[in-house]
Amino acid sequence: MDPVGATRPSALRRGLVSLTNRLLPGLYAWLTTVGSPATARGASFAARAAAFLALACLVAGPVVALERPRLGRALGVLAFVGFSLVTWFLLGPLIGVQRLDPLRAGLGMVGWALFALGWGSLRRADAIPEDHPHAVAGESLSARGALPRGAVAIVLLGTLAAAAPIYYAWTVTRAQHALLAHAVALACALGLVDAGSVIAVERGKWRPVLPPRRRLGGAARPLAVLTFLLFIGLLWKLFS
Amino acid sequence: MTRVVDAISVLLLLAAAGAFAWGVRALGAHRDLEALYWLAAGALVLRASTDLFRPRAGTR
Repeated sequence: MDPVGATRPSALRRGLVSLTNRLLPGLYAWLTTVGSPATARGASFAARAAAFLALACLVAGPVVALERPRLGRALGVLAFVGFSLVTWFLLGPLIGVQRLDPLRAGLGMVGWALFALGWGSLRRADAIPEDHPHAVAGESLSARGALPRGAVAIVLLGTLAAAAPIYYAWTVTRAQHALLAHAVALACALGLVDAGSVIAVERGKWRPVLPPRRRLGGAARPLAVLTFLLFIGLLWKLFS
Repeated sequence: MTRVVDAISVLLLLAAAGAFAWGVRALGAHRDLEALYWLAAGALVLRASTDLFRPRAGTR
């Protein structure tokens, strides 16, 4: 069998997969957050032109990247994001928080996250890291320990829980408070993901597990302040 | 008992998420004082959930 002929369909398939991975999330993000408001009634011609230039860059980027990766990346990422920003700037009050649909905005955010992931690069499944010209030769380093049981589930739980404040931030329609809500929600989400990771990992066996009484004692101060706060809240609820 | 404390820390994490979500929701519903209250409560619950794994040196 001709080896060149055998590798050609594989390369073509990889190219198509790469094209789809880059194009589809970007198209989704464009439709939900750029194309939709730009084609709405009241949008200026300049905003519409910028939106369609963004779309042209989005489509051209992955295609050009097959032959010229740097130019393709510049078109598909920088020019696309740049023209999207210009569109939002030109749309002005048409994309004010009062007009935002929380669900569509949330889905658009997911679309942009997927777009960023789509342009990322992964090691090929059949690639051998040691074959890389910059690989450091020598004995492979083995892990000193394994993650405790349920660690991945706890991190996932923390990450899912972090989505709750972000979701509610999208429902804030008071213009002067919407940005604050997003900043607060982002800080809360970061704290939740961080705490989830700490809980997941600190149960590991590389550090002696302290007796439960001492662990509860460690959390006594925030728990005491929390109890006081909840008591004040209860009184407030009862007498207001 | 150790597993119970582990479970409490996970429950505290979820409670913190609920308090934060409630706080942000109150912020959008023009209830600023309630928002501050729940955000502060969420921060305390979150601190307690990680302090269960990092006791201070002085605690016995």
